[in-house]
Amino acid sequence: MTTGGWQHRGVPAGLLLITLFASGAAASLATGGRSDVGLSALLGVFGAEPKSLAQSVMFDIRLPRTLVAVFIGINLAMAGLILQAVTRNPLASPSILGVNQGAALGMVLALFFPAMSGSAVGVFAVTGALTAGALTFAIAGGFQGELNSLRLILGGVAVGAFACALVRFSFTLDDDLSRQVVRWTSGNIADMRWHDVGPLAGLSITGLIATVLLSHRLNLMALGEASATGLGTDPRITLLFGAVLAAILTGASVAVAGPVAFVGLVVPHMCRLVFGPDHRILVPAAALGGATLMVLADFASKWVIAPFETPVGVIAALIGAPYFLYQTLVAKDLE
Amino acid sequence: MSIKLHGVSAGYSGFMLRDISLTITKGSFTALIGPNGCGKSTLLNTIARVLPTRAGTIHIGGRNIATARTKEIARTVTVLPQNPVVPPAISVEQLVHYGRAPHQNLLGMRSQADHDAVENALHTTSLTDLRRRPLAELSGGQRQRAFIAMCLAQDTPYLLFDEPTSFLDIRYQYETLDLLADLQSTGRTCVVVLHDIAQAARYADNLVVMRDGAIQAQGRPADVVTPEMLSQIYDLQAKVFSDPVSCTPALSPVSAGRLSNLNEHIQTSQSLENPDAREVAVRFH
Repeated sequence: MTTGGWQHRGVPAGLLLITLFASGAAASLATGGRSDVGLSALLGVFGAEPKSLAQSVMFDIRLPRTLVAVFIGINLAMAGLILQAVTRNPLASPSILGVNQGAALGMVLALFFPAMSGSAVGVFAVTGALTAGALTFAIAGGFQGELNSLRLILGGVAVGAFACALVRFSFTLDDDLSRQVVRWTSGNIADMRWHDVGPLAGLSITGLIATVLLSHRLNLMALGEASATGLGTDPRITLLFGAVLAAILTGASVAVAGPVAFVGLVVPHMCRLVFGPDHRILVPAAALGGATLMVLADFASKWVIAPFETPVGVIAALIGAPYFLYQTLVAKDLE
Repeated sequence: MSIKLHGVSAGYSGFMLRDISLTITKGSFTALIGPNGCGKSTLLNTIARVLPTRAGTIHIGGRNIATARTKEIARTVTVLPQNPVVPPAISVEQLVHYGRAPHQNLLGMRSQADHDAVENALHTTSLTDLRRRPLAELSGGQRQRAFIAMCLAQDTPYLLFDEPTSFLDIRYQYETLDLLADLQSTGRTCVVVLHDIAQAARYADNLVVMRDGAIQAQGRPADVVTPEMLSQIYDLQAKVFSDPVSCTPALSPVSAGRLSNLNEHIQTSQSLENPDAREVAVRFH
């Protein structure tokens, strides 16, 4: 018996994932309200001036939207992977720990102040994510150095439910505002433009590099606090860096697209099954996996009830929830 | 070049080490013994800076651990915790490679020296054939050896092991202790928490006896393992005799319930002037 056989699966699985990502991205770009705009419009779209109508649709509407899906996928998968590693809890993820909902609440608070716009909203979302994460950690005893797995999950559910309730409460306040909140909390990326892509892309890429640098520390975290310390990495630093990084990545994606659940939970799981437990491989794999799931979800959101749109968050949950159920009932690695 | 503790207090909120001063000379084999909850593990983890020191200072090889970098300490001291967390799915070889972390860069890139140290550690612990097996599939003893191999790969002059013989059957218990003795003979310093006093006396040249978070006695096994110590520290009435093989102190309790019945039986039989009674009683036992 060898270790699950993923040493041999890694390369073909990686190639398959890259192919899947490429097809998903192509499908996402090729689908949209105007069926006459196909992938061919992508050719020369960066150089062409003036653009044809099809090129404009591709460049101004579809490309930013697909890119946002890619970066949100990366962010949530990284956040989930980091949180699962630092808490040594396979159930940890932005949505289970209430970080997603905290970011949403921060965002709703920002919507109340009309003066807030652009990056200020992002700052509110990140602050909400950090606050919710810190609360959950405090409930689980994480600050006393004795992180309790069950209390972490239960605390996360409680914090998430509370934040969610406050977000819902805002529905009752003002019609315009509540419409905005409802639209946005269902995880919608239909109206993404280039100005949404820039900051998200910057944070995603920085976050990805930071996670790569953190990856071996995440490996050592799996050995427990004592061994991690004994091997020369202070687990408290890993925990702090990891949790803050996860909150920022989640906050950034929530600020753009609203809370998208399950991606952060499911993608790291699938990747661990296929690529094994080494985070130096898992980090790029999960980033690609998250991007793939989100471009596929984006394609599906445009295609399922075309010409109408289904919010991408709904599609992600429709893909993620059954997989999670399968994991819980069938697979063994949840322990 | 030794481990020096001066006035150290440390521990959890409910339990404290009190004012510990201790010198462990370089190249020695020190066993920490004492009843459950006496602070052996806390002391070991405090020396390794897994637990913070609340008062006092600890110097290892002349370096104050309070100000040293964690990675620097990890190149000097390896620590085997009492119940290491077993990461699901990772293989023996991967685990042993993690032992090289303090010698590697941030990403854990492997050098030839890393590969050599890992091969060496796998060979020493007879795990070469099991290298690709996931930890989760191993028996408790094999797993313990894998963690010991990880500590060996770390290649440090000081080794701190918290009950390395637990989970091991008797053969591997002695193999593990022999391995530590071999490491000592190459100039390394071993500090080991042990439960078995006879084993501790057999392998260690320095015994540290603890109770209630303080050091009660320290010295050579022959001087420390006495009926008085066993009675004071463990509340145990025992006879101490010289082990026929190692000529180090070994012990046999006389007050345990079942044996005290036997002793009565022996006494009764002897009073009946039956010369075979002792043998019968022993066989019966």
